[in-house]
Amino acid sequence: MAKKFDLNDDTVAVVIGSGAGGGTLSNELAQKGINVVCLEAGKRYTTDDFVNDEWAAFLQTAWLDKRTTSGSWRVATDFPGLPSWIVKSVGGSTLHWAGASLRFQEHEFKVKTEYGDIAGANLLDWPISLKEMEPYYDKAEDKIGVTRTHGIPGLPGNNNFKVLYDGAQKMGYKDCHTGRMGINSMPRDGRNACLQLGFCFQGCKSGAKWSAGYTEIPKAEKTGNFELRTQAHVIQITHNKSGKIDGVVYVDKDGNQQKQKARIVAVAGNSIETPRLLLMSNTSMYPDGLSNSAGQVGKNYMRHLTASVYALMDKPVNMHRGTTMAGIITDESRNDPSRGFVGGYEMETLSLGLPFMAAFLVPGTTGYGPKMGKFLDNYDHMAGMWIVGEDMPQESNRVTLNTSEKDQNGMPVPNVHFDDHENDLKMRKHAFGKGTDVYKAAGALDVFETPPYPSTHNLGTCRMSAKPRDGVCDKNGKSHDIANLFISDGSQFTTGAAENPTLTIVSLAIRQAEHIAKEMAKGTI
Amino acid sequence: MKNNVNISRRSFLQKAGKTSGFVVLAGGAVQLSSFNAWAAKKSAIDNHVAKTMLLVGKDMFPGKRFTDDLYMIAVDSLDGKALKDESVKSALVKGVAEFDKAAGGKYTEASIKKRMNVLKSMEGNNFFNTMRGEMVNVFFNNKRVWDVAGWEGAAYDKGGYYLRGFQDADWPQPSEEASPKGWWE
Ligand SMILES: Cc1cc2nc3c(=O)[nH]c(=O)nc-3n(C[C@H](O)[C@H](O)[C@H](O)COP(=O)(O)OP(=O)(O)OC[C@H]3O[C@@H](n4cnc5c(N)ncnc54)[C@H](O)[C@@H]3O)c2cc1C
Ligand code: SF4
Repeated sequence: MAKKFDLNDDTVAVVIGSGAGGGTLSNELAQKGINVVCLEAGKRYTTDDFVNDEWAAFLQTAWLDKRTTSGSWRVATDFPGLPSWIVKSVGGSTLHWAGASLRFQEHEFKVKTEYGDIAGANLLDWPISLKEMEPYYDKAEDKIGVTRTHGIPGLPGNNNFKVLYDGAQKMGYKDCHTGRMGINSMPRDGRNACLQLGFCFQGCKSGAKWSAGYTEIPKAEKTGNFELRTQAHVIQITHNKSGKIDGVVYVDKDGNQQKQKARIVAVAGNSIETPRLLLMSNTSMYPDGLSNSAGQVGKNYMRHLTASVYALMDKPVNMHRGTTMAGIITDESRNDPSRGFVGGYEMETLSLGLPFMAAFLVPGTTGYGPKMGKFLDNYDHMAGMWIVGEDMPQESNRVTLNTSEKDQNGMPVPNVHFDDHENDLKMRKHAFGKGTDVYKAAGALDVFETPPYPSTHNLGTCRMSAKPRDGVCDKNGKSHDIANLFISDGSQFTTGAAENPTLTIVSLAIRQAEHIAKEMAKGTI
Repeated sequence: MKNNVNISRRSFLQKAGKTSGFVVLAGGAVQLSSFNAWAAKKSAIDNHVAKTMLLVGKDMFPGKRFTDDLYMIAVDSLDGKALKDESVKSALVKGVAEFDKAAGGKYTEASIKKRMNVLKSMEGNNFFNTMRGEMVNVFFNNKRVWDVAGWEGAAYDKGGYYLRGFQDADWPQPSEEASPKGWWE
């Protein structure tokens, strides 16, 4: 049963964040008999609390703490205070995720070798290969219940998928199906089957979609080795005289500061908060922040090349009925430099409700006019896809502390700086073209090429590297500088690959838990 | 441009009492034919301001299925804010004056071409942002607008769509391998 640990208990593993990375790591450690305190800035919601209302759900759980942006990316103009769409709640962004669960391709773990030197890109091979990851991918797929793996049937495709599929056939694409999804196509693991509600981005009320908040966390609680503290916002990671981590300071729900001692600390606050926390924890011993001797913390921020194509079809579609992400075309995800860029992209159906469509179809001040009016007026005739591609890591794309702005706890806010790389721009142009072709082939009257939304895939700001000078952590997510500090979320990503990241985040967390348990048993940490 | 104002008097009267507090004069690009229902409600802004706001909202997001009484949702919402906050009211009045000036007369009497040029020149302007914001956040977040555009809103109370047309679009059914049968089949 749920346990309580003392603030002075220095034998516990402290995990910061309860999302894909932190929720999974917490549960995996607790299952192995390790005492875990998970500190989560957000509140806890049950499936009953979720609402089928786009704005209400967003305001209920999105991370809305102050943030700033800079750089030439369009998000900085369209959403200057909201660089990313991340969830602040038990379960983190897995509350709102769509469920697409794809393995990386083999070459995507070694892009420096495969792509060579690309000017302006800070490419690096992962210190880990697909082969090493396979057993963990397997475990993660089983945990999440990914369709089309472990004998789990694929989901039935909805209206939006029918349109995509028709276009794909006419384009001659070979690999188009309802995807590998972390959504139950039949009851499994105590959770319901999908009712095709279409509110996956708002929290799945039927519990069919995997979310760390109602799978990993309650399972961890059952072990008796785990305590979750909600509304516990960590503002500093502390160390002792020898430089080892000894605890964290957090602000509790009443606004009071608490100090929790720890044997190890694992940071999984998503790729903006994780580097921010390391930077905010600077001391005279670590003047540039924790694990930052190579100066890499916060750098190489990636967000995937994203874009959407929305089509106005000649007949009613009703794309909003059923899963938000209902199917995929993978044919363009290969690396084929003859297309004019390295890396590839996935095309995945996406539907937004009318309220979000009005806000995102053409965001910013140019988002109005006869064409936009026509699309929204004929919402029921719309079909849509999201494009997820590999973006290039660049040192200058980074999360820094903006010391002139403070958050509700008086701490400097993170600034997210991003410029698209030339390769990103070429790939986006190609993807817009192919996406448009798919819908034209299926009977579209007109299309919109929709620019990126606030980033849902935030990656790479504390990357893994074989050599300490190239990154922040090693192949186990362990800090290159401090033996009992771990990075446990998407900020570990060396590069981004074309696939949605969460399956890889969960696989890495399972793998990291094994490593931590082994090292703890040996007494090395 | 000939403006199609296909608002049925009855549906308008039913809703007007709840939604609108002021009189918008008939004629020009905006033609609303009933006054009495509105007169009852207090309103912060005058007819000219209201009428201009309605037309700006409509020019921003013109839709054949969106009737003028629907566009009033955004006008009304701003009017409600203006009633509570004098600075909102003066900003609306000022914004309309700017639009009129840019139109070289009255925005509501300018041609559609002229009005689109005014909008273009006003991108990022305060009143422009207010109107666009209200259209995006209030108009398109209104159930009456959803009903017309065909978004069906909350689905959980209705048991989702698995038995209610999630595969009824008139496109070929994908292969069973690509799109397997549902758990209920
Ligand atoms: C709308 C949407 C759709 C998505 N769809 C997909 C998809 O189909 N497939 C896919 O692979 N991915 C998808 N994603 C991305 C996916 O949700 C993320 O990749 C994943 O959840 C990231 O895991 P994480 O552990 O890094 O962070 P999160 O899951 O975001 O968890 C971080 C947690 O840490 C907490 N936290 C942060 N800072 C602190 C602090 N200082 N103290 C205490 N707690 C803190 C936060 O409150 C949060 O709960 C989607 C995301 C969104 C928003
Ligand atoms: S469509 Fe399925 S997964 Fe998405 S919210 Fe509904 S029941 Fe959950």
